Amino acid sequence: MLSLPRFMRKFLISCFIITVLVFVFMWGISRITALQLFNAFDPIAQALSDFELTDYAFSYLRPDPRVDERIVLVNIGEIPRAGIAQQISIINKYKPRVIGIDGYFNCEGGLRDPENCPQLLDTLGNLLLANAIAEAGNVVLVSKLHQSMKSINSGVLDVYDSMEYSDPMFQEHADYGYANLVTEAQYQEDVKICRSFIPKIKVGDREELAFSVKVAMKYDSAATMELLNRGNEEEIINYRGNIEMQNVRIKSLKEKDLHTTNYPVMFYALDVHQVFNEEFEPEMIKDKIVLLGYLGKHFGDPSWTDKFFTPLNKKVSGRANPDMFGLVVHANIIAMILNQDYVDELKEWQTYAIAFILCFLNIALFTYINKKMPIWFDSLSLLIQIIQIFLLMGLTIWIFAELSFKLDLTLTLAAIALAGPIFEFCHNVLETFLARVWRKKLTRPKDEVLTTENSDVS
Amino acid sequence: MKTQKLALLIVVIGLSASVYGQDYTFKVLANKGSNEVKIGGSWQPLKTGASLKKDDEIKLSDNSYIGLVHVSGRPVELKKSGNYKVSELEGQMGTGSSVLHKYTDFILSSNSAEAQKNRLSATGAVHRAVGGEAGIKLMLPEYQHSGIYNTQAVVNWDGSKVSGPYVVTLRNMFEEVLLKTETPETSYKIDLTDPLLAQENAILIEVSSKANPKEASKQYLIKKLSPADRKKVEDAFNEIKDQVSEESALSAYILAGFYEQNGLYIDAITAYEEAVKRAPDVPTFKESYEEFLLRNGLK
Repeated sequence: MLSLPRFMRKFLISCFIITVLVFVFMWGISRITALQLFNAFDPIAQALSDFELTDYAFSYLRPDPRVDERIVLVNIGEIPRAGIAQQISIINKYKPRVIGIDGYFNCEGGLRDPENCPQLLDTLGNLLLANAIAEAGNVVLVSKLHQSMKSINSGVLDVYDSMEYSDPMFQEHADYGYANLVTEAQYQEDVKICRSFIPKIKVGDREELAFSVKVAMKYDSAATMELLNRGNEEEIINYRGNIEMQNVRIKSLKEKDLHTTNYPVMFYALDVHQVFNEEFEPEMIKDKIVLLGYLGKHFGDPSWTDKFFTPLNKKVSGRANPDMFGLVVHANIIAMILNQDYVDELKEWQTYAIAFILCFLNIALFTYINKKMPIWFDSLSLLIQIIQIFLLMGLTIWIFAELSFKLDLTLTLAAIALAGPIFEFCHNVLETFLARVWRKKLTRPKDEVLTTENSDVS
Repeated sequence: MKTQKLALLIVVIGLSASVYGQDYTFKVLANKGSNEVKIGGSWQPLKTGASLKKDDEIKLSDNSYIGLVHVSGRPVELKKSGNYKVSELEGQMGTGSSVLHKYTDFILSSNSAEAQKNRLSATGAVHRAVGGEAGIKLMLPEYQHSGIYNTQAVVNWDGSKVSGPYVVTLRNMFEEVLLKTETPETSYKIDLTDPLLAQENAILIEVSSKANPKEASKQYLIKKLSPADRKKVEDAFNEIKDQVSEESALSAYILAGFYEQNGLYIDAITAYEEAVKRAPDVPTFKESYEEFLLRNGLK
């Protein structure tokens, strides 16, 4: 066994104890903030809670992504079911390999009366749609994950035990995948920030696949199995781009870049009337993935319906317009699966390990500076911390942009920021206090010490 | 030796096939508005998915948009109206921003002209279009669905905002008046076999108030099908001919569905009108007619 000199052992033990104290302090802070005592006075934290450093890389720094020509998006606008049936029939003539429909054809909440579910009256439209789906034979519809009341009342989170499907007449000849995406939204119209998705989930005894995974599976099962074999419960979406057209009529604004994202056209896209009038080249459909869904009433419609905030948004924090329709989010996931360009990230234990090691090294450096240049300690330690924090932030962005690796160093940054103050506290307050206690323990009280005054010695 | 030559030939054919496989400069990813492409010497409507070659030219109309993908896979947008030569667009593609350029741009972006904005660009008001076509809205489809297969068309309009009597004016494509007639009703039947109309391939219809001619609908187009399109519809019609031979409300109802499926909305309206007329007591036909009008934005 390697034997270290005594001073070195003492040095390492001291650094270790201070590092542990930094983590204990962080744990304590996290407990207090979990009680949400300061939320009312915390607008900055609320504004930045949606912010991630890697969002900069998505929008500004990574190499320009390439268009994925295998995916065609079709806008269903606000046309009724008969219209969607007609769109499917037209598209099906040109032999797409898979048709995904990002829309529910049921009565929400199970309310099956004409007032709450007027679509039931459109029997002809329903028949036409069911027939078009059956004739196409390669349709994937969306389903929805739900928690039963029993599960909700038990307070369990993210455990789903029931599914919502379209009406049986549409189900019969279609496959299903759940369209739920990972967001903080409480309900559909809530603010939705989407960075990741869950590829598969257990519902009861059955394993369900996400809508995008199901579509990709029908198109290229080998590539999709690669995703499933990664075994990640949650996958970060490596966004490529958007479909975003502006309806700007004022000349002075036309030349300005008013897009909410930097890559506004990344897939083939057809508007409602362009399908009906067949204003497209047939080969853009043949053997492709066609996704039907809502992209506004028409191209350029600034609607917020089914629109998400994504890391591609030019505004990375604070108040902003949502930038991407749900259909385009699914298209991005499919493109990621087919191209196998995943985003990897650190495992939880690795984030703790990196934070601990860097914090330990900082404490060691501070101890050295304090010993050798005590006068310069305050200025130097602060400067070192600031430089390190900026370097690590830059490194996080750079690694994400260049290697598609999400380096979550939040804990490390917090540990480095706290290392200086805790070190000073330990050296100036704790050490002095302990030394005094220690000295007190080792030193006899004054009355017990023999002096010329209290002794018989003369 | 022969085998080597054969292998060489296969390689040459393979290479040339791959070169010809990429025989385009751009492809159209997304297209909004009535844009055109000049191929050879003639202008044609631009379609999504179309391949554009170096010699082609694109015309972008007002308030339109074209998204293109270069053969290298990089996208490009066209937003400003005008003509664009494909060869020039390719020249402007460059090689994209270098990583260093991107980082510099990112750091300096807060001082860029882009970041300096006017603060009074938005208002707290909305634009309101003229009240629904000056009060008279004809229940007819827009230009892209203006084709008619039969010789009769029933035109209805909403008379709740502008009261009758009304003046129905039919014009040819040169805006010459072919027929002008008055009616107190909110419906008018056009007979295309009428000698005044028989020679015309396309007719423009407008309905105005007799009391105030300024209260007029916009002009709608009714266009006879081209022989090729007519043949297509005829072939499809022959397949269902036996089912609709009987003169009943149900036959007219089935016909309405057939016409709608083929984008012949004017014929569908006439068929629905016929179905309702033949069986006025059956609510299904009225409800379906109403659904049809709403579904296709005709009401």
